[in-house]
Amino acid sequence: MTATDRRRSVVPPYLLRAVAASAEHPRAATAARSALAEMAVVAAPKHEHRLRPQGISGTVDRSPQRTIADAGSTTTLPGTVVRREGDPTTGDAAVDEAYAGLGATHAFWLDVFGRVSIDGAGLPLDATVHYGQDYDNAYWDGRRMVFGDGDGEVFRRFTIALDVIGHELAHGVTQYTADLTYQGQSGALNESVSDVFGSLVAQYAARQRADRATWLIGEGLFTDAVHGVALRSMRAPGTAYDDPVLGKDPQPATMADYVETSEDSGGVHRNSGIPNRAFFLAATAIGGYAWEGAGAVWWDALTAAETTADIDFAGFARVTVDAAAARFGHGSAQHAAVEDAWRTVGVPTTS
Amino acid sequence: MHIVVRRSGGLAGLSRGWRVDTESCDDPDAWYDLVGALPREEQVRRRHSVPDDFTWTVTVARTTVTIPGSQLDGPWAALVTRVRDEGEPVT
Repeated sequence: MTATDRRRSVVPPYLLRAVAASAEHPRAATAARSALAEMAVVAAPKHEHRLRPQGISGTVDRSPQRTIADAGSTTTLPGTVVRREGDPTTGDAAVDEAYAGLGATHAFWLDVFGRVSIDGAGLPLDATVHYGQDYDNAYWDGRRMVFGDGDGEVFRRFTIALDVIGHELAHGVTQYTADLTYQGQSGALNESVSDVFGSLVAQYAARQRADRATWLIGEGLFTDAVHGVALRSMRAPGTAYDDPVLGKDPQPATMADYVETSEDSGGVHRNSGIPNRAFFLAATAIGGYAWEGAGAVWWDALTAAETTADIDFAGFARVTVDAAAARFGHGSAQHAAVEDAWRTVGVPTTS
Repeated sequence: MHIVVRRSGGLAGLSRGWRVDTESCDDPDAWYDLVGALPREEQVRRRHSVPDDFTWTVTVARTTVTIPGSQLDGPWAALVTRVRDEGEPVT
């Protein structure tokens, strides 16, 4: 059995995990745990040194360790704990969406890349909901996720979109791997990586192939009053909204329209449209499940030693092209798709 | 006195702004009290590296201060809140 065969096990990892946790079928559970352990090793990237913090050894608890707190519309963190791992639903939509979203994101990283939580070492997943008043944002503060309820006029609550929860947790994954500096091109790559893996979390949860995905980020966040479908479009950056109050989606789709600005840490939420579209192009050209093709290549690139904290678009593009060749073979369809994708958005991949 | 508050960044990456001219407000003295409460010395702030955090830029007359959203508190937060509530939106 080759590595590729094992990665494409007929039993989906989420079913294996359910069986592995089963008390009624101890023998099947043991077998499922073995299969999971094997898959994790196969799916893991080559750069083990980036997988977990130094100094941690022994076995790691592979289950999610979720704690949801309620800030009660204040800006005091962490707030009051309202739901811990294993607790039943609370009936508070923000609390239960955050809990479910953290679970889906944890399952994505574990099943697809064998990564146990965002640091690869089982870091507890902490989130605070109902942060602030009319707070139109969600962020990762280096230790926890923070979600606002939105103002109700432009934005609804930020837990409503699974890809947004995946986006925030991916900032944590980036912090523990390439640690891309949040400024300029490396900052836009940091943002793009969060959109890529946030979108993949949602696609994986829906078992959706690349050609069936919306490639929208934050669909459902805007109220009905806003003329727009989402915060961003990876397929067509710059087309997600066009509203009399908010203006038009300012994302560029190619390097020719790269935005130089001092706002937003050098336009990190604007210029991310360029690498976002490169990922969309590569993923749809490769076809199938995006997390198995372009997603695996981007994960290899994020954990590659060559991806330095201050890397620019061209540098990261070269790392992805090399990663595609290393994982799928020089001259493979995947290798060509990644090269073509960057060329289409105007980012050179030859030095 | 003109006060302009701008917010950039955030998950959505949407820039918003609000402006007041305190002379044309009903209670200019209250604005001077708010501004008078601001710290005279520039505050030492943590390195701004919180992904998706807002960045606030507050201009009072000819002085501009930039504050990460997660560190906006005290008199600065009070001023920003009032400008958002009572100011004119600017693009």
